[in-house]
Amino acid sequence: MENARFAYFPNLEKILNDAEAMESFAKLNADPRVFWDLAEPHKQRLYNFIQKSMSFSTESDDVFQETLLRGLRYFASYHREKSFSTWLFAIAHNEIRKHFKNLHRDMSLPLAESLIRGAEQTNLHLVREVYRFADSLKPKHKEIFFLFYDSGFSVAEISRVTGVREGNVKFILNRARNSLRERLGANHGNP
Amino acid sequence: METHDPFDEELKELVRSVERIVPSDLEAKVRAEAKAPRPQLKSRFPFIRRRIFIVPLSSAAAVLLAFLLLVPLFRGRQAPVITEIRTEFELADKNIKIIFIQKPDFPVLLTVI
Repeated sequence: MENARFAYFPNLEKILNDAEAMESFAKLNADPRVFWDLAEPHKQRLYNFIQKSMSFSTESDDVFQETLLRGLRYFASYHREKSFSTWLFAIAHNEIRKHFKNLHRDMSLPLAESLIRGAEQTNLHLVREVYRFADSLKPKHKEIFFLFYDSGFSVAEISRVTGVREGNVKFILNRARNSLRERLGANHGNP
Repeated sequence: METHDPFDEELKELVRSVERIVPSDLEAKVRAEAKAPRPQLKSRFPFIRRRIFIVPLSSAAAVLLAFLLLVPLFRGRQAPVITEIRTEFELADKNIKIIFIQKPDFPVLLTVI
């Protein structure tokens, strides 16, 4: 009987399989353990992105916490065919945007030297210059800068995370690169 | 941006040389917060699940009210219904006045004064 039904409606089997798959995904998405498993490899990158985009503000821990909680709450709406990291960073982007919208006073902290890894101590002045430049950027531009240079996202992925068109992302990054070339001096970045 | 500019690699190195580790207490706090049930805020409009609907609903109601109030104004005065047709003749020299009154329900009503 089942075979006869599929014989008359050739797409029915596929439709039923899709529906079953969707149902199982929905069940899977409701499981917080799956969320934590998926978030685990991106946690460190996410934390650093939020910290740097918020200039190491004392409130960045709260934003990190809210990002994860919001991700967990809306995990059921996450589609498997999309990149989890892009989805999670988009939530972080919204949380950062919300933070800057409600910002009444600047809580950013100076770049602590202890944060700089030992191997890079020789480039300390360059690191400082890069972060000083990043601090001079608008919040959204700063996010784009760190998504590219710190989190390692491509232009297309940054566009999906921030909602900024790819052409604009390229323009912002290009301007940042040129400014940094000038700032860091003639010996840096001249191919 | 998928061009391989050596300066990009250098910048990545410099940016990534600053790294913060997620504090273990923060992670524990997030997980504990995730397990705790979220307090449900009491809605002032329990029949409306989302307050966001109130704005379009109220504006739609205002438009409907304005429409209902303005329709009679735009409609204008309607022409009165003809209830009778009077035709008068006056013969002055004979001191006679003839009045024909035509009503919808009477064929012709003749009045002679």
